[in-house]
Amino acid sequence: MVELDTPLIMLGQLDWLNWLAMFWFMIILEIPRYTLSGLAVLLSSLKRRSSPTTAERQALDRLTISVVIAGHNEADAIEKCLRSLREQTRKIDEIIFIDDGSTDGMREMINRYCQSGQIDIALSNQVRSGKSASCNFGFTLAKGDIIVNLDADCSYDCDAIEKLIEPFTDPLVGATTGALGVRNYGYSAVTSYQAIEYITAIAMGKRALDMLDLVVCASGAFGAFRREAINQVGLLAPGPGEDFDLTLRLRRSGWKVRFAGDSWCFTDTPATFKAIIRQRRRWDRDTTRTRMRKFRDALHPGRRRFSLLETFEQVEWLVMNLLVTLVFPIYVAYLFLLFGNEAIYILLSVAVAYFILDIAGFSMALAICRRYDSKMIVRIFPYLLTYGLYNGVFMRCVRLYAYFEEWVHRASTRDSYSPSRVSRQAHYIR
Amino acid sequence: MLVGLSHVSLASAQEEWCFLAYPRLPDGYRFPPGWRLAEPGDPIDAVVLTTAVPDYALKIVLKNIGDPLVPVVSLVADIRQCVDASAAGEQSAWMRARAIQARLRELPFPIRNSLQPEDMLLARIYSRDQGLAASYDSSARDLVRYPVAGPLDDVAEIATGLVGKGYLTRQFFDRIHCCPQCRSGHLSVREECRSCRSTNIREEVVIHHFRCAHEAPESQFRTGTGFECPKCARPLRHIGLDYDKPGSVTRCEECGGIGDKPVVGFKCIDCDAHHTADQVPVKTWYSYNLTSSGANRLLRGEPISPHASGDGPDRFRILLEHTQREQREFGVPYQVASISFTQRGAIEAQNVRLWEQSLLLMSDALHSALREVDAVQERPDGFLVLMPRTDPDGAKRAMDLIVGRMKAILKIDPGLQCVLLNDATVRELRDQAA
Repeated sequence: MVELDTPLIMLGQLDWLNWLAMFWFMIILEIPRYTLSGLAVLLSSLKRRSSPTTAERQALDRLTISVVIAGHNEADAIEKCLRSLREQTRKIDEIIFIDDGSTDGMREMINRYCQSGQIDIALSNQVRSGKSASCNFGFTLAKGDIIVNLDADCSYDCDAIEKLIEPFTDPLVGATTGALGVRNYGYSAVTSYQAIEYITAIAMGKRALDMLDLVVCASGAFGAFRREAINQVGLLAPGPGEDFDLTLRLRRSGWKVRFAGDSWCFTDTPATFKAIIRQRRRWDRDTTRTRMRKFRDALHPGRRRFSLLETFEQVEWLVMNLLVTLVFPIYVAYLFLLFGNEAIYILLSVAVAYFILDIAGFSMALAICRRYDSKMIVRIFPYLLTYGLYNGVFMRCVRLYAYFEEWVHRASTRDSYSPSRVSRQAHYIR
Repeated sequence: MLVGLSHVSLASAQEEWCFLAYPRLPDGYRFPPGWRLAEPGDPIDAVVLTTAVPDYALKIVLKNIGDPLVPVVSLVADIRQCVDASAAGEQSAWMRARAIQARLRELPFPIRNSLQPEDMLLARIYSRDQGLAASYDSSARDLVRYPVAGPLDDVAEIATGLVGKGYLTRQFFDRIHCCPQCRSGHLSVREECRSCRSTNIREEVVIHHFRCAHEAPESQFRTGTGFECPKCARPLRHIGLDYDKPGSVTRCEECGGIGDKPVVGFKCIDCDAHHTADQVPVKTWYSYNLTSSGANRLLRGEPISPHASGDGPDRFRILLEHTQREQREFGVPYQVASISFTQRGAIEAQNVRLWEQSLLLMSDALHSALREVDAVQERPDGFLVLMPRTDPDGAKRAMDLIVGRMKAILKIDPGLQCVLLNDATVRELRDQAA
């Protein structure tokens, strides 16, 4: 029987060398990440956020906004999405809805909304083409200076669009992305874990990346693009991972990508472990394919448009995500080999450390976000106790498996995210 | 007895029928026995048209005769509404005129000479010995006519009133869209652009290039010789391998607007007004038949009072009078509530069909919430509800229930207003109805 205070007693008896031998994984790979993002966020929060000047506001008002929403079998979600768009404080000049071969009556529904004037253009693919093609169809027809790409199953704060386009006062900004929140946080343990994950990842992670000019994904669920910029880089490439791919291409072409932290979008996240494993495997496979295959030359100093920032960003991902994921099972095995059953106490100590870091990170994130009410915090707070297990062990295992699938089987090219006839041809050249 | 019998047969044999031929009959024309040309001052038993007479001329002739029931037959083909027989041979035209006149003579004097449209319509149905059948007529403004009704106007409205009184039964004929502006049925139904309502539209196929995920209308891909992707400049050679055509769009040649499907619009040929599908009301047309009750009333010679009815406004008035008498004599309370719709005009202007459907729903909700002894009168601005033996509190509860049910089933807000009327207002209403 493991005594609860045993890890603490043990920790007190160790010298620095032993500390390092036991906790090198945390000391080398985890604590710097938490510290760096904490510092970045602290600095960014110290910097007073300035609202646009009158001239900037006038310039923003002159911009025309097209909203493009593509969806497949989203008939049930459209009303909620449109209702939140109707409430927007910023005038939307055009709403384009693309039904991508739905079989649930979405086509008829968007045509009805079009007839009643709530949608400007409603178009349909009788055969499913995939998210990228449908969005590109909408992007081609959109007339606005800024094209906002949204998901039909999301809903938006009433000032979401207004805040999302604020960074476009800088003519070098090619894309912006907003903060994503979890709408169904109380549905299950999985959604509660994701709520914590989204809060910390967005408030800490994305804000830190924005401060360092390292935002690399303008989400397809909530991103805005300068029309000129996406036309220059050639719209979306075949999916999956098309939003990440487009953002990287924008960055490579010299456009800035900004995170609008006060612009909020809420979505329903997967509610079961099975569903989240499926989703995260897809995300991680896409990231690996895009980074390690399509943009692998980011590390090559001889390439035509070599950028130190892009290389740093790639290295940061390699170390903080890839390396950490790969090393984690080695670390666990190392502990058991070296310390035998004592490894359990060490892992418990790691769990305690994670818990403390998570509490600190979550509190800081909540303070920065200032978007969540106490009811929500009370509801998800108990899950913070085991969040380290979810994020540090469970998610790492999923990620590890996804890396394996992609490196060995190139699984992302056979993803059901796009119809097979499309992905077969689209990825043939790669 | 023998004298009597011989008198009857003699009278029958001597019976003569006067007809007016227009224009005059050809020289030497032999009309059937028993008929003679009408002399000035003779009653006209039939009008015989010898050629295709223009409308205005026929109208003058009929006006001069002054008998809306007189049979009009034509010796030549004539399909106009007021002509009772034509194109089936001269012999049959004469026989038809005689048969109609014979049945007209069965009618009592007050009915035969009544100027009430209801009486005239019933008399025409009876005398022509056939139902009031609707038929299509492209020359009619509302596309439907009732040949039996002859020169009478507003036949459908009169017939609907007679159905309510139990003198006619009706069978569905057709439902026809009509212009909300001029009520004409001459509507052109067309596919048009959603934005500018132009019919100058064309359908264009959409192409999806697999390799770069570009999707756009075909015209953007077309080059002189074939297809080339405007995004990645690769040629598209093989459908199914390089590209496919997942759908189509409708493009307007006038405004450049693009949409999934064209919308259906209605253009009135008569008044040139344009309407969207949801603005165009539908009129239901019926064919009618005389009931035995209608025939009895007709033959008994009791002209139909315009107010007499088995249901509707008159029933409401009778019940109201009875309830008021009950209150006067026995002190039994009653209430009359007015339910009106303040938003009716706005909703009707926006979507006539939606208003019609909503009105039916509200009527259903109203009747479902009332007792059998309550009476409802439909008025242009809403409903009047008579609640006998009800105190004000009971009436308020009933009104709350009605309003609750109406709101529960309606998608629109008709601006419901419920008011309990005072005695003076009710008296005023009753006097108006009387």
